[in-house]
Amino acid sequence: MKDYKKNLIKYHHLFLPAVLIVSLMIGWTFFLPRFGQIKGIYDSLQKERERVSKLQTKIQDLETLNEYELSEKSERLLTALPSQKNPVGMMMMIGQLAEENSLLVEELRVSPGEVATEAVEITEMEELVFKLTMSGDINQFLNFLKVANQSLPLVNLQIKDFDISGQSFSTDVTLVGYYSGLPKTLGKADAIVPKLTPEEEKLLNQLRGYNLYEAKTFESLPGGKPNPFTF
Amino acid sequence: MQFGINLLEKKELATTEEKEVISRLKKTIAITLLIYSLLVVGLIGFQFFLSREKQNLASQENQLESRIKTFQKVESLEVLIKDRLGKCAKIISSRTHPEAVLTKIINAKEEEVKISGVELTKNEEVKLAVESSDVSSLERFTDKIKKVFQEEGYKTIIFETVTRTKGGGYSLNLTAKK
Repeated sequence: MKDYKKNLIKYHHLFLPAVLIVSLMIGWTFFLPRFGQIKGIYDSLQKERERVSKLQTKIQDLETLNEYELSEKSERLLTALPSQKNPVGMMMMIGQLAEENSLLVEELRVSPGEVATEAVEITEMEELVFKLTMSGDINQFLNFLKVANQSLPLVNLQIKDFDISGQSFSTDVTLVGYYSGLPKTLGKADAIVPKLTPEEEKLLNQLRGYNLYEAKTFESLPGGKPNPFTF
Repeated sequence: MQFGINLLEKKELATTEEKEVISRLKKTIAITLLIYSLLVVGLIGFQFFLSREKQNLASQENQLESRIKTFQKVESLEVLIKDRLGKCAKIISSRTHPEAVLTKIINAKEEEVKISGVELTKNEEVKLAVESSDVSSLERFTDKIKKVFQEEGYKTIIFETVTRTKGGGYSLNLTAKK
């Protein structure tokens, strides 16, 4: 004991560096990994806090939405751009438009191809092309073009070989109809609720003013996963 | 005077310097131990606090997510509307409006001029074929038609062919491009 004390006093100047070295070794083996763990937990906590805040904002946004109003808007938009290829419905629309304007549809050709069921619906926009040969009064035809461009479903009209003879005409018309499948997913739970921009609101109002030629659709065969967008 | 021999080891008395060194060492050990204890308690306590906080947040997240699920229909309607509007805007911007140009072409027509072909298949191009028995009326028509195309935003008008037919009439093919 006496020797120990003597040695301690003799080498006391080495004590502090020895304590430091031991502290560093303990710190390296015990504290450093623990700091790492704590940092990991802290970082994930920060992320979760952000997510919770996003979720709260999303709920607030969703609470402001009116289901009835949205259903009405979506119905009109599904008339503007149907979710399924509907050649018969489109032919009925063309016939009705031509009849209203006393025009003669001499020929109508369409190659509808595959009529998709909901399970294999395409989410990208697809075209359905109708080739018509029409004749009649010019002014009625101009009105037909005007009305068709302000009608739902949306169509694109192209004219070829437009020939005028006095007040009557004959022409080939390409009428392009469109369809696109419904979106399949809602995205992440914390994804922001998409809000309509002023331009989109304007477009929606513009479409509200369009004439409706609601085409009759065929019941599609059920198949695949249930789609949340099928109401 | 009596002198005896003490058989027990005589206790050496520590000098003042030695006492100071010992006290300094004791202090160092005490401070080191205190710092270590504080650090250990602090770290374990903080880790425990963070874990509790994480659990709370996880349960809060679950509650919010299940609340969001109750709004699924409203959300899907909003997503659908957004999707359709984007696509409708694309269709509308790509549409040709043949009635506007066609009306102006017909209004510009001279009595002697016959419109034998109009092609409006692209948004930015119009092809026009006309026939006339009289060159001056054809000239008047082309003057008018130039103005029409300028008003409609066409930048180039190309006279593809101008032909004199066997019967003495004239035929003209032109293309207007935006």
